Amino acid sequence: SDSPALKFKVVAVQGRARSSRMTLPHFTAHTPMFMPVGTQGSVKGMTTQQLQELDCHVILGNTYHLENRPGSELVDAMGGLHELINWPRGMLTDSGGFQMVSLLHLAEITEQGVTFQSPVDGSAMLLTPEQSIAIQNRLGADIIMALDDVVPTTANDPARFEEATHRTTRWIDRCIAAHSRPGEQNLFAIVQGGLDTRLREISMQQLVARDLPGYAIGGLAGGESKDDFWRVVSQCTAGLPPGKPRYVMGIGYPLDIVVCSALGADMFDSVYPTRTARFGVALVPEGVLKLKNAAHARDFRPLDPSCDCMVCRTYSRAYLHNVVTRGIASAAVLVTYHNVAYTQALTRNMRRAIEEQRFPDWVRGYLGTMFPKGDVPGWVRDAMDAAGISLEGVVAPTHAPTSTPAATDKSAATEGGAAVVGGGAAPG
Amino acid sequence: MIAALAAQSMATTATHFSVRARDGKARCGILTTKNGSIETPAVLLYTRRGGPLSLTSPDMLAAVTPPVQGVQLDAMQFLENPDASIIREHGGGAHGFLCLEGFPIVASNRDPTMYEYGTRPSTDKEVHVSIHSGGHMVSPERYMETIAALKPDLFVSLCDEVTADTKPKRVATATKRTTAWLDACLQLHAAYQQRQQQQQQEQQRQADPPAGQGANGAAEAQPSSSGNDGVSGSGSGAAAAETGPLSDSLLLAALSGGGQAAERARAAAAVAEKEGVGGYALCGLGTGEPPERRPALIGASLGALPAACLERRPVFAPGLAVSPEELLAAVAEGVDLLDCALVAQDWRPEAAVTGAQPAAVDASPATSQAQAQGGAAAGATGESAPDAAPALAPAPAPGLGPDVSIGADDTKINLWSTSYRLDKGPLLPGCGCFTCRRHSRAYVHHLLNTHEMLADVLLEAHNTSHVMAFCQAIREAISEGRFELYQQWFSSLRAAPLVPAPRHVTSKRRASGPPEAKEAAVAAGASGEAGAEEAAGAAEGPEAAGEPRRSKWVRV
Ligand SMILES: [Zn+2]
Ligand SMILES: [Zn+2]
Repeated sequence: SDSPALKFKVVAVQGRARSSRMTLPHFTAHTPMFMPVGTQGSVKGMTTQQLQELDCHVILGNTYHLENRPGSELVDAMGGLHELINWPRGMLTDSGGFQMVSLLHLAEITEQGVTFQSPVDGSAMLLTPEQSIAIQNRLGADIIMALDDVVPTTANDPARFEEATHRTTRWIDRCIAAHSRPGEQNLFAIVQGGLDTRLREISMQQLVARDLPGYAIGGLAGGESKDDFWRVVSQCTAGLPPGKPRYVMGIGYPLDIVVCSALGADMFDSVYPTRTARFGVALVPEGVLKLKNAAHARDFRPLDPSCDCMVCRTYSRAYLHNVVTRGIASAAVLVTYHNVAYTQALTRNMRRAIEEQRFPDWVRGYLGTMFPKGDVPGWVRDAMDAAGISLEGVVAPTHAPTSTPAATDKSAATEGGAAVVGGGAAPG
Repeated sequence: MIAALAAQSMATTATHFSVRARDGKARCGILTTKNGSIETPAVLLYTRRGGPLSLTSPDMLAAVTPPVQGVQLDAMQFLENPDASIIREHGGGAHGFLCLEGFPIVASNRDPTMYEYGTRPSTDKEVHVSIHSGGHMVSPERYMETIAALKPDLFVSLCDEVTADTKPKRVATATKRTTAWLDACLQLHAAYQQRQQQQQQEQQRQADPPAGQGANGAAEAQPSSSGNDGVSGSGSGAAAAETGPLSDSLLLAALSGGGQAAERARAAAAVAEKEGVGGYALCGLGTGEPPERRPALIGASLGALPAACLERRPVFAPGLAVSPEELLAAVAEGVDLLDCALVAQDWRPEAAVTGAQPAAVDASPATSQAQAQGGAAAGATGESAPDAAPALAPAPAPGLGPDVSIGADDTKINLWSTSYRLDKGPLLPGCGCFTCRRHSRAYVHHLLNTHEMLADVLLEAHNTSHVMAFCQAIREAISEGRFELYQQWFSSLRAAPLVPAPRHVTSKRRASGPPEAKEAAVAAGASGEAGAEEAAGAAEGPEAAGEPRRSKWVRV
């Protein structure tokens, strides 16, 4: 039952939200937590020291990329990914399968594994559950992910979802059998089932029966409606065991992180905060701040006056407006730095609010700042209802409690003359 | 003594310079500004539009060891986006706007990594420059308005830049214009040193808005000057009210003359003793002239200046430090300050210099070696890594020398090379920089291979530290009277030819297994025969890097 490489202790619960300590071989992570993505052994432009300063507890590596370069055997020879990149804290690697399916045109899933066309010579290649685990064993992350059969939630093929759900279970057994370092690495299973509650239920039952150290909710963040998204998360967080970490894969919009945390999820990852930074978009409590906007040319305020990160303590929007996305790498790093600081402060504040039993208030304050006119999207209101958090005083009376179309984007809002766009932006 | 010199130079100028040691024409000095002092010879940190390329300020900039002494910026990059009115409105000058507090800032008239002049003709009134926002005609007034907004510690006067191969007639015109513009800049400098005259200047501008500012010019000028009031007035009372934005700035007179020694001498003599000149800038060099001609050109400019002028005025050479040799050659001629294309252009993308810190190299003269080792050790101590340092790589066999097959000589290594794939050692053993204290050659090699931004960050952190250490070693050599020896010794390091890699070395390295690969490659490289076109192939370049060679995917 208890994994030798992971101790998960829920320290506070309020409603469905919880604050926990997850002790991994390299670090005791506090959840809810956001994990920045270091695709190829580096979170774009950030030093590992900066990531520590920014209170990152776990970072991600992508198995597909790392196996291409530098190769897991080299990583192993260098003493593991932690050693290679000099990162003393928690690390998580994905299975590689999702990257293949999403990056390579000719990837195909068979019972054996994921077949794909080699990007080098076009020949047919195969990633099996055994291979994925062997590679991840060599990379040496604290948490490794099972190879699952991912079907995009937007696919309209019930039979395929049925197949994927059961195949994911068959593969988890192959992953468990292949896992050679259970004493040092934690294998997480990934719940599949698309948008079908019956399949999600089956997937959870089968995977929970394997008693793994943690569970991920997969197949989301792929273009499904926000309404579908939160309902799947809600079903899975309710159905997964309370004493194990719950990881919603691919989630990086601050609003999504808050909603999922309110529903009882613990871990999130996405390239969104770091990628969007390189396009000059900063995360702020009001939503996002697009630095390219000419309105910032004479705006001498920090990116986010409520943020105490190095960038916000030092730089003005006006400076960043002029240099971001114009080929000066240090400027892109500055916005990345802030965005990571923002996500870490967000989760830190949630943890504290849960521990101090004022989480519903905190959520109301968060939503009130992001939606000052009270136009909280319907899916958020519905999700908060499911989470048992009242939005009284936050949602404007004109906005009826339910039945608004899902995934409404918040239109551009202005704040103090500066262009700030609300946070409910659609994926893409 | 410094106080006396200061009083002697300019009563209103806080920034001043004094020479402390000489060796031949090379000299060590100290340049004092209100934002800190610079020990010369010094290389200034390169910035583009005011931002260091990959090092964030303050954290990564502060991690450079020995510390960055000063920062160079190109004033022309502040003509538009942002322009002077925005910087003025901010009120903190370049230091505040760019978050470079604590660093003396030298505003140059050009970027050392590009040449923004000559795409369109200039006139007697304005010089044409091409910057990020397109072409601009820049008058002394517009230039000085920008300088006054930036409030740099030192700045170069407006120069009609011409390249070294320009025809004599055009060079003569350039000299005439540069001299006239110096007078205009000096006048405006004097005005901007005093608050009242600055306001007069602003009133003049309101009456006659410069091109580009448009109809809103007058309307903008009012709030911006009140913004200035808010900043300078609130701080230090009556004294501040009397001083203008350039009260602490030193004007460096642009010395033109293109590639012609006689013209350079004439130009320098014409401006040498003008009142208000606080130093000199050797303009128009590094524009294609053969490096071996450069000492004569620098000598022509500086030789025409009275010794007394040089005694208390620093010499800045923009655009010259594109290689360590050129830096040394400029210093040998008496240059005090250089901007730096070194890190930005030459070393940054792929190589970390290793030999500029003359530590533990057999070839160095006994005295300098002892001294240098002391210096290097001093640089490294006090910087001992607080956290676990990466394991050191096995030292290369003595006498083996650098692996020339992979583009290395005794002054740099090419981290693209696959021979560093498994190298757990720091970029430069003994280096106390951020990168060497935390990361391995293998990691930087991997980051280069995968085109990760962090490669640039880590290389710039090391290379910048290295250039600073190089300057420190140069200063030590000068003050100990062994600069020429040092220069010779350094040239001998670089004399190791960049021998291209023999093909068999390349294939052998790729085929060999992990632990022995490096040794095998090094040994083979040292004994290998030459083959010109393989040189590029030996260094695993961006193209080759796209190829996953060791992946464990199962072929079906
Ligand atoms: Zn911030
Ligand atoms: Zn170093």
